[in-house]
Amino acid sequence: MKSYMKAMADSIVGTGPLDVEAFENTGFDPKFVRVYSNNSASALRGALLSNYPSVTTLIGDEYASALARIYRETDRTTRRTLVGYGERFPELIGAHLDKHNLPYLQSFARLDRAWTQAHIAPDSATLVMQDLANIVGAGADLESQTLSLKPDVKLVDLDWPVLGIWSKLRQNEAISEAMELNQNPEQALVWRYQNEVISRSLSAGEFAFITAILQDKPLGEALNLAIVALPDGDVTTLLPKMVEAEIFQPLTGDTDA
Amino acid sequence: MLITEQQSGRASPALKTELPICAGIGLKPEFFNGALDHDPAQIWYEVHPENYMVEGGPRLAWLGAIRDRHALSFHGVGASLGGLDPFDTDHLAFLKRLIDRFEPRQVSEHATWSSFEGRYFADLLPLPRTRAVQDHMVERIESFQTAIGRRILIENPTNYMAGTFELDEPDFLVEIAKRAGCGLLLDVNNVYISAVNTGIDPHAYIRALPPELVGEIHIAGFTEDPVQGKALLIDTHSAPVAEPVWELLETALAHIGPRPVLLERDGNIPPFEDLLSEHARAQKALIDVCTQERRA
Repeated sequence: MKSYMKAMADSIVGTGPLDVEAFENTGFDPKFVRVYSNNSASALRGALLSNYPSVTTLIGDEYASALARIYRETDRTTRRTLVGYGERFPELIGAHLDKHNLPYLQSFARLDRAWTQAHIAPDSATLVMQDLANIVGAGADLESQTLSLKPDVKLVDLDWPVLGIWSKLRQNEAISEAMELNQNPEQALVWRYQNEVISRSLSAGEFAFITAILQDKPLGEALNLAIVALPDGDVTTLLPKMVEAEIFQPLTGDTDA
Repeated sequence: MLITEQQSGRASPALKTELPICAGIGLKPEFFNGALDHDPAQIWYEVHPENYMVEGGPRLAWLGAIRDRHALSFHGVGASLGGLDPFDTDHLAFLKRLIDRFEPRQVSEHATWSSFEGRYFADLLPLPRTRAVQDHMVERIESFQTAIGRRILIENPTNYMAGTFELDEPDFLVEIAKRAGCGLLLDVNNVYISAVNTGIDPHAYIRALPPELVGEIHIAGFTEDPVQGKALLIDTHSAPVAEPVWELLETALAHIGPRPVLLERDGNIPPFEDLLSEHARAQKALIDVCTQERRA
């Protein structure tokens, strides 16, 4: 049976001509063996396109399918679920810039990927302002606390400022007017709020703050880095806004009283 | 109308299904709202557990909400029961966690393989119907059932390749089920497609199955191969159930007796309300067979 399975697997993956001899002992007539290859390709293509809807909308089904075929040929899928299939698709899009000539496409793909990651991330309790008030009330040093982002919070550093367009595409909103897109970086936060995935663009100060949090820097240092990144900005509301956005996990461990 | 085994006049002594004996629908994300609004007494839902193998988020919350209102069944597609690779331990562990959490009333898988040397093909590939493969399947199903702590049903495959085999498919599957202690899930659409594609008699196929082994029936739609046309049907689940499949369902219910009947739709997804008309037809077929049995 092993030689038959290998022949079938090779046929599906598309490595060389069909090994007809391997089918002889099985009783199968491999005349329509292509149906299995087609079905496998169709399942993987469908999963990839559904996981990258903005990319598919931008370049159309036909071209997205062609990219899906390249992805299938280069990605040796082992997981038995197609939820989240296409983990490396943004990298593939970046590597095939010469074929599609859409330099901003990878930024859309990265946002689609972040949406999926946020959508299926583990559930987690949420830090609320009262938690911080309790720390202060207990006489602990708030600035020395280290906050952690919830597992569903994804920071996306984009090469192109596409978050606004991406959000419209995700909500099936028509983009009726021509839009000029200049290459400028944009930092986006994608996360689950009240069980729905939402996103927002970050200011330089917010980005510095979140980056510091991801690096496990204490809260006071993270806020100072936000001030440095946005010297004319108002960082006094930064922490309350972020807490209200439900992006932090509750504090654990002893407070530094 | 919810049909009980007492009302049907015929219990299934060897296979006590815990699903209600009425028509169900394969649950798609597009149906969540409609499913939550529908009368719980007349419907049940089936999902591919692989689509819920996630760590958290709304997907699991939705499934929990459905599970709180309706009977739920798991129909796996990723186990590769007939494969030569060891079972994927991550997949088994995830499946077990989902079973423990959602307590589906039935768990089923396919008499096929879908991975080789670790690579997963996302398709249900056919097994050579030999006694050696039969032995292999018995051993694998026993291990699988032990790992997940549940007795399963195994579904007959869709066949696209004709041939000459040591065993015909009913004999192949029935012997496996008897020896492994599992049941059968009869996919009537698969039988019809296999009949067209490989030249078997679909009615004889169904009549060869011992009723007591069959715990669930599936119906679905198919499409024609773009090259071969009507001579080669593809199991796409992307169209309404075809008339010949409805007729085979009647044959199956007459032979096997009332069983939970699932309507599958995975492509060209219609509005939930449109699917309910097909669901109603399946429900009527079940009621008709119960009525006939009571008269007899």
